[in-house]
Amino acid sequence: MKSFKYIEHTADVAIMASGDTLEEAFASAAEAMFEIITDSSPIEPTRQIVVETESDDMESLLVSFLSKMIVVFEVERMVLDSVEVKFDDSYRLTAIGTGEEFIEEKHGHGLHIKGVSYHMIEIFDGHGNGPSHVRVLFDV
Amino acid sequence: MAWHGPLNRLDDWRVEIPASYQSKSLQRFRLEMKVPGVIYADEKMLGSILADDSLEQVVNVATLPGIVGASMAMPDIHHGYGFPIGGVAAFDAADGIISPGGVGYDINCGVRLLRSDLTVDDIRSRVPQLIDQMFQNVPCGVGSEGSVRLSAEDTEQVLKKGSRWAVENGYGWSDDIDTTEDGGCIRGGEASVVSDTARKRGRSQLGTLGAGNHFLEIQMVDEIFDKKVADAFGIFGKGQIVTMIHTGSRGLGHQICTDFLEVMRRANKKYGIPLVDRELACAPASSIEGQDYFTAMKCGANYAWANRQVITHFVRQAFESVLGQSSKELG
Repeated sequence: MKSFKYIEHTADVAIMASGDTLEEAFASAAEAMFEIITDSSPIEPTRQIVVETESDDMESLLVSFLSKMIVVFEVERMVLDSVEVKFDDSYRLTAIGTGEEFIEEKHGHGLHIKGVSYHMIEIFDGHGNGPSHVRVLFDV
Repeated sequence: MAWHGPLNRLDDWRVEIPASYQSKSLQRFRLEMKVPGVIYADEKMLGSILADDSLEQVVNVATLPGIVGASMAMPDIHHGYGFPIGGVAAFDAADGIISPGGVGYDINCGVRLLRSDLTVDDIRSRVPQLIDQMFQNVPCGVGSEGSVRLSAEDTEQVLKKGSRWAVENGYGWSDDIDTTEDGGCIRGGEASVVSDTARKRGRSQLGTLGAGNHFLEIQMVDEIFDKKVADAFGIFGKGQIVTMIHTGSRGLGHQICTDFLEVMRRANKKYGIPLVDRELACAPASSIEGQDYFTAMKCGANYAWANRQVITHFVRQAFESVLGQSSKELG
């Protein structure tokens, strides 16, 4: 089950995102970003986008993946309602996002996420014995 | 996390963290401060500075190769990511490092003051219309796009020329360049080192304010403390109307920082630079990675200047349309 919660932070927005697997935790963090951007406005699942990312360790894979979500928002002008993540091999992933075109009046109610930070970053893989988590901080 | 390390008061305005200080993090990474930390703060200011872990960040910066003199902190110091906000550090150009985190995500974030000949009595009754028009001309907030659409070629020119691109394309007056710091451009910006993603993020955001702590305000002069400086800025007295523009390089600058933090992370391994905090990621200033970042940083800075210049133009248009006078007449 994907879920996320806010972690108190004075200047920016930090979250802990969880899932049954690490893939789900990554996906949950991406979904959280769009909840923050749109302030949980309804998003229709009318369009899909595929995002691929690779890096050379888990933390930078997470930062790189979530940074691509900002590009989905700012360049592709899409907001996503749901994200599925699949790790291709150790430090490479493919994500499929479902959502719709960003409409300012409909979705522009939250915070603009400008960057994804390594600050406070933490990744916990439950390896199927329990939930997995990622902790990440967004520069807003 | 409050500060528990040593602090020596140098004078009423400065305290020093001696270079002999070994924080727990430094011990863990077997690193030493290469220079002392110097914090510009009186006793009163120091109270709030000690409350967060910004002084640990001053210490961490002091471990970076080639740091010159001291790892400094200005009176506004507070906790940042890797480097403290309000931190100042100089590095030897030959033996030192360059770090995107030190420059920050929002490259050349800054303010511009736009003076006018107007006084508060000239606009008092029309403030709401002025504000509405400014909101319309200068988009802000989540996902806002501007009315300027840059082609790929335009983007390259913005990154190279900064404010000059804006003025050449009708966004402002040629003397705006003369009154902008550094003439609104750092020479040597070459778009080839800026990723496609960064450029794409920049194409529809010129002339937009963004979100967060960025603002566009109509302000009124209340008191002049230094007449000579005020004269130089064209500030003539109480009640004068000015506009303050606070924004930076928007998504383009952020993407340059994101891209180069990744480049630097690899460079850190390649050049064997040990880091106490990964947000301090850096490369030797003279390396190919360091030089590429320096060039990209100039591009980000130039975009920010062009952005404030385009916004300047849109603010003038807002005043013109509401007050029915040309902006040249309004000063």
